[in-house]
Amino acid sequence: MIFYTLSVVCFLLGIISFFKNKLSCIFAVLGSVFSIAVGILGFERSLNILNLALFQDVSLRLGIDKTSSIFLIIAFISFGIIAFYSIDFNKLFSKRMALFINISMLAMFFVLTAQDAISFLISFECITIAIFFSILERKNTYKEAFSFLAFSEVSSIALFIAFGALWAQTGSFIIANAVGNIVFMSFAYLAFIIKMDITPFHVWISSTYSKSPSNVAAILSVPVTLIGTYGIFRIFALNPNIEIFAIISILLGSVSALWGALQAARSRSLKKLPAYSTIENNSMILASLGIAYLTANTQSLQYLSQFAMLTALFIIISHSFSKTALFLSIGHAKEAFSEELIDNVGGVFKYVSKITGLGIIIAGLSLSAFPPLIGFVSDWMLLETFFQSYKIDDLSLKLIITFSGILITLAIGLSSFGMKKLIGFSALGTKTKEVINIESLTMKISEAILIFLVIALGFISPLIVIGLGYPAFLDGLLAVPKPLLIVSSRPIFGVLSPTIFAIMIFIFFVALWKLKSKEKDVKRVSPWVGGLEVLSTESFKIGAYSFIVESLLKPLNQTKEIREGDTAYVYSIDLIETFYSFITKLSNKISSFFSKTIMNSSIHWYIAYIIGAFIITLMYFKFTR
Amino acid sequence: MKRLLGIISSDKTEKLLVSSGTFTGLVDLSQKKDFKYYDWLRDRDSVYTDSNITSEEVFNFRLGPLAGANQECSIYHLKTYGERMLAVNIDQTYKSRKIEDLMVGRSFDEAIPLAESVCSNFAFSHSVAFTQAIEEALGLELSGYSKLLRVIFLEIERIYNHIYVIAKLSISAAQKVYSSHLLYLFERCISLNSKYFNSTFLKKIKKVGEVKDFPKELFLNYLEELKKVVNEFKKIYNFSLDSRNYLDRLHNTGILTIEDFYNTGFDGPALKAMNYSLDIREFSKTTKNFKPILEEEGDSLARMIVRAKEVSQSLEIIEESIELFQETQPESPKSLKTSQKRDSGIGQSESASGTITYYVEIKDQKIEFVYISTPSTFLFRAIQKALVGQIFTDFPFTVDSFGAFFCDCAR
Amino acid sequence: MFWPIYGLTKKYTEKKLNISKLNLKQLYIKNIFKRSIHIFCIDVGNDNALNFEIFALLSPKYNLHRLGIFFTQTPRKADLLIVLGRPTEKMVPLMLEAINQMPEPFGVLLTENNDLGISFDNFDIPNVIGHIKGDVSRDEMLSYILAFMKGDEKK
Repeated sequence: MIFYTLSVVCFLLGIISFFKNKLSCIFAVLGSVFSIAVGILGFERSLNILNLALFQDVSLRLGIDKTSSIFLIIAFISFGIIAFYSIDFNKLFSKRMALFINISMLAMFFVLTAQDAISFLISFECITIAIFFSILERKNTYKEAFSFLAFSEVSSIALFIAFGALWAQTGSFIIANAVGNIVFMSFAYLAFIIKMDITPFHVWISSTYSKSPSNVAAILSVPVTLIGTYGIFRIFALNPNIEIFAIISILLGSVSALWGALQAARSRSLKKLPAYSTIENNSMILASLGIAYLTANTQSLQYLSQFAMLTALFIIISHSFSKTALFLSIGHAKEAFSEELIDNVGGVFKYVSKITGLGIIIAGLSLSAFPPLIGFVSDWMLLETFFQSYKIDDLSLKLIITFSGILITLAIGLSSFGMKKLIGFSALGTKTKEVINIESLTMKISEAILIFLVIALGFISPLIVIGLGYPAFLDGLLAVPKPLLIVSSRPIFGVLSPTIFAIMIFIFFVALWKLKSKEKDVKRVSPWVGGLEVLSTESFKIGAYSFIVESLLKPLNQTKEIREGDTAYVYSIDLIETFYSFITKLSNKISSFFSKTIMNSSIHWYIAYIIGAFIITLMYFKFTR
Repeated sequence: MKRLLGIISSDKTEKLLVSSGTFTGLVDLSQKKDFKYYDWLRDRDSVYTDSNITSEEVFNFRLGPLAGANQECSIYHLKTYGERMLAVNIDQTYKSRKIEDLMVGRSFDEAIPLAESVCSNFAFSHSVAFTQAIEEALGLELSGYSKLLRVIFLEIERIYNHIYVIAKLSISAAQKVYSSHLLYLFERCISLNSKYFNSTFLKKIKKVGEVKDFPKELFLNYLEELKKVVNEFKKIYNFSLDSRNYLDRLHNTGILTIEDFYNTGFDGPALKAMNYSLDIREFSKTTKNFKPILEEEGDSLARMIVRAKEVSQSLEIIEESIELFQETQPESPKSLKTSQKRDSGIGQSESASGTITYYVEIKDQKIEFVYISTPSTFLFRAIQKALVGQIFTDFPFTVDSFGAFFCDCAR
Repeated sequence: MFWPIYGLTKKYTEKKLNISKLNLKQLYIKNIFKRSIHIFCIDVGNDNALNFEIFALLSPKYNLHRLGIFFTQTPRKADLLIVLGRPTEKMVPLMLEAINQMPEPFGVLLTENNDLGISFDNFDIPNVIGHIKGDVSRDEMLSYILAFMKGDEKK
């Protein structure tokens, strides 16, 4: 309770002191530390913070239970680091930035602790608005900011309808009462998958992420999508018996994961790539949650269900820290070169800073499932979950899960393709441009913390399993001592020990390093490329790396090779984007048609419209009563 | 169909060396508008530039000079945004030995080895074309005996060159067994050369006014051996045509059209694969019944088929010539009655990849000016055209099917 | 559990014993076939005769792999560099760079079959194992390669 008040006070102080960027950011960091403390306390036992009756049936309720505390901890670790990063990063923008970050953090805090619809909706809207304005901090971003707003508002409307259904059924706004309400479930599900950027609703992210400031992009990618994930967790927990949503989740999740990975493999922009990777990770969370709730009701599949739940939590952890690390490092690199394309930010590791380069490398490796990082553990768990689909009795379900598993596996492969591209060309590439000096101490520190987290969490992943309350999935086998081995099922199906893996890799690395340092008389020569020096125009470009994907999947990417005189380039787009642009064009046309024909300030049309509307209303009441 | 073979600018006046099958000779500069490649041919010793694409995504993939893909030292600049070749610039200048300049001021006997070392695998064709030009300038005509010998050696050279090209193609297409067979036959061919004629690449055989004489039985023995090689070749070639895998790689790659001929002016098997022929053997008196082998597709497969069929055709010509040869007796060359000793001459011979043409001006038994027109000069231009728009995988199948050599091209 | 270490010690001692028993002459002949060599061939402006000779060397008649002879496409993995022909003016720096990139120890075999190009006497090329002039045949080149593999001095 004390920590709860303290963190709210800190955020409020941060909001008040927004004119002093450093102070405001420090308050935000303090606030997140207290929030994490709240989360840890809440994990031990549920707390009711506030129960304020507004009217007879309407009351505001704030409280913490196990689910919200897990999300609180994860979200506010990443939030705190983003706030710390912003101390230096915000200097590139106006002072309002700190204000928006503090508002969104406070609102996030309330979203995760809200137990009634009204406080949830209010804080939900607050985040949307704060982020909308912070996107606008970069110039010429109106279009991107509005597309973000549009999707967020669609999600809000769906939530409104869901809560309306809740009110209609139970006469209260307490979310916990929405058990078995199919309308509520459907609309809330829609709202939250829009928030999670699942595939048909993802088109805004590529342009918005790349145009918004990097810390805002990190907030968009991690805490904001966490709201969606949190919501899905909540509504699934309320209605575990509705199988159809679980099946939809598995299918949608796997298709969306593949789509995201495909687009990531295709993209050439520095921030679009991790943006699409966000879609992929969130889809994986959705798919594993789907399996968890599909099998929850069968007694014989309890272990699979629990393991799938654990998998979802692991992906959330891995996604949160790896993606934050990636966005923050990329943001640093992007500002240091002031460039958008991956091609133009070569040599981050060598020329910008070692930590930033390492941030991109480690985060990218984690997202491409490189052992023993946390991303590897979570991807292994996901695949193990899908491998166990043979245990389900129903043949059609078995087929669906097998099919989804194939898509997910493809997605993991493609995402590592994309990440390799990012690491190879940006962190390790050759320098193409002079570096701009920016003050970046806190940026480097926060990147270093995240790198440490990504490596360390992989190492201590058995501890996380215990911490999340699933000790049944730990065992020992052969030379591996008891709690260090993660098993995917009982009786044992698949095993992995990230800790031992990490230790072995470390030993081999040290041995190699020792061996290498022994060799002193090594002949060093320039690379052999046909005997001549390699010119800058002769280096392999990012487009060439992506072209194979674009060329092979021509219909999916609408690839066009364009040659105009002395310039040539490849043009490809996201197929779903064409659908949205079609809708946009259609609505523009319809509205212009209406404005020209009906609402053209001609009095006759207006009178006809009013009379028509009057008659239709009368008829409606006449026949419905 | 006429080709521009070269632009000759001795005596400060430019003249065009033009060939149209029956006629080969110098014409006035005013005809240059008929040839689209006049400007390029004037500049044939610099880099073959196709286009300079400048775009952010496009980069230059450099192959060479010392890369495994091209045996000879030269560079292919492939402009690409990945996979597809958008433009190809070929840099042959690394191989340039300036042989035309070296020939000037030398006596005939000194110059023949230079002509032979323009391109050793076409050594006999080069020496024939060169000596023919000198013979024309001197007003000499070869005896029938020597002419027959000339035909025999030209065809021998053609056989081993064609087998070489097909072997290279099969190596590129990863046909291990097939290529091992072909490599063996190729090696056998050039071993036979050194066994019977004392020179692997038929060098030092052609001289001005005569061809080095060998005993008649030697040719009969040689023919027996060659027949075995060619029959073996025919057998495995027919086997190779059953392999869909192999044919698919060659089919529809590196397609050339008649428009490309007007733009580049190539000849040889590449032109025959498009159903046109400018083969000078058709108009020669020594090979009366010669009918060129034609294909229609214009792709790598068609070029390969033309070469394979020409191997058996060459064997027939050799057989015929050796039969005739047994009855003729060696004679010394006779001077032409009508000749008024000109000091310039044009000589031509049909090498395995196209027509080689020499234009020579002489003075006091010494060479004053030489212009060498080689088939590879034009073929590389055609390769440039054929490569554009294809993907990297097709690169070896396209390049190897032409049988163009950089030493022939850069001289 | 310790069988690998056990096996290693066993083999090690057996090998030691064998060496003392072996006939030196036998070992010597076997050595030619046991050793393998990787060759990098560079054309620096020859008239194609030497390229064709190398190509003919790949034929099954010679079966080079039986002798442990392999061709490679980069000097960085090569034991022997064969320079085909005299270099043209433009190829001189490239030839020297290729020699520079060879890992030590290495050998260089020079070949030339005509007077075109710049003479090899103008360069100070290290580790020359042979300099073939005149009509260079593939058999001669092969004999140089085999001599190099044996460790014979043949000049």
